[in-house]
Amino acid sequence: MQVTLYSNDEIKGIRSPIIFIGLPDVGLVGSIAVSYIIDKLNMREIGYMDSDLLPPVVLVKDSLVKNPIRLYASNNNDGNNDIIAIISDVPLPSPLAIQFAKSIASWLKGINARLVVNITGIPVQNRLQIDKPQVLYVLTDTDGGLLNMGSTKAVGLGDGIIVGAYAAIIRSCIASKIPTLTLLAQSHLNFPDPFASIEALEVVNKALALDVDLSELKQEAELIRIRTRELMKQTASMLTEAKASPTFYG
Amino acid sequence: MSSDIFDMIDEMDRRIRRLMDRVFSDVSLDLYDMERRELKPLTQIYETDEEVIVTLDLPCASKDGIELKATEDTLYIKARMDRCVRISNIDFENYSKSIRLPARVDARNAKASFKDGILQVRLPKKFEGSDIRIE
Repeated sequence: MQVTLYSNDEIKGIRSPIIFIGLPDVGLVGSIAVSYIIDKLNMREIGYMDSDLLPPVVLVKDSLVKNPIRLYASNNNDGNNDIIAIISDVPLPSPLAIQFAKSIASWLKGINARLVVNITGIPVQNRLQIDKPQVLYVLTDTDGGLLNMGSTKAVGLGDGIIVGAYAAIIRSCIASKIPTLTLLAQSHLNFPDPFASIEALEVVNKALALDVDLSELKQEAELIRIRTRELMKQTASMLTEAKASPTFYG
Repeated sequence: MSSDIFDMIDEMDRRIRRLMDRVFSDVSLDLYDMERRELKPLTQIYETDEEVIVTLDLPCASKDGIELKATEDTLYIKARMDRCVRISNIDFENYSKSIRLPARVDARNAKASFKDGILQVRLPKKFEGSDIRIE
C-alpha cells in the first residue's frame, strides 16, 4: 500500500525549505501548533497526500472539499525563508505512518529540504500542576548550523525512545540525510493542549529566528480546545488501539 | 409510491450509518447531545488501589457554573459555559455527562478541583471486603 503525494506548480518556486510536520497524537500539540503556523504565515495549500490506508473521509471547509493530509507553502522569494507545512486531520495508523514517512522523506530529498521540524507532546501525569510546560528537543546529528537551540528554554531529551509516526519520520529522514529537530512539549495525553503548543512555538520562534505572533493562540486557546475535541477523541481511540504510549518512553 | 423505494432508502441509510460508524466509531455520539444542545466533555478515568480519579476537559466553563453529584457508582456533571459556541450550526452553552465509575466509591468523601478549564474529581473507593484471619 503506497502513499502518493500530489503537489501543484507552486512547489517549483520553493527553495531549500524548512518543513513543519504536525500530526494528531498526544494532546494534539503538533496539529494545533502547525495549523497555527499555516494560518499566521498565510501559507497556501500546494498539495496533498493520499493512500488506500486512509479512512474514506474528505473534509469540507467553506463548501470546498479538502483532503485530510495537506501540504502548505510560504515562499518569501529570497531563497532563505521558504517554509512547507504538512498537517493531517486524521490520526495515522502505524502501517500508514511508515509509508507516509518514507514518501515524505523521498519527496523532501527531491526538493532539497534544509530541516524537518516535528512538533509533538509528551504526556505527563501531573500536567494539571504545570503552569508552563517544558519543551524537550531531539536533533539528528547534523543541523547544518541552522538552529540556535541555546537561545531557547528547551532542554535536550537525554535518553529515551520515541515511538509512532514521528519516529518513522525521523528514521526516514536520517536515511535520506535530512536534518530533523523534534520538539516534545509536556502535555495532557487525551485532552487538546494548546498551551503546550504555545510553548513549542516559543521554541520554534527562537531556534529558527521566526516571528510567529502567538497572541491569538493564547486568546483562542479555550475555543481551540472545544473545536479539536473530535480529532482528540479519534486520536485517543487510535492510540489506545495501538497500545503504545504514543510518543515517548523515557 | 411502492414500499420498495422506502426499503431501498432504509437499506441505504443503514449502509451509510455502518460506514460512518466504521470511520468515526462513536466519536460524535460521545461528544454531543444535539437534542439538548449540550457538549459531553472529554473524560479520562484513572483508578488506583484507593481511589477513582475522573478528569474532565471543560474549556469555557468556570468553577461557579459547575454542578457535580455522585452516587456510589455514578458521577454526574453539569457545567455552564461562559460563552455560546457554534458547532455545525448548533449553539452549545452547557456541558453534561453521567459517568459510570469502574468501582464503588464513597461519594461523601469525594474531592474536586478545577484549574485551567479542567475538573478533577477524586473519589475514595468503598472498602467492601472483610478481614481474613491467618491461622
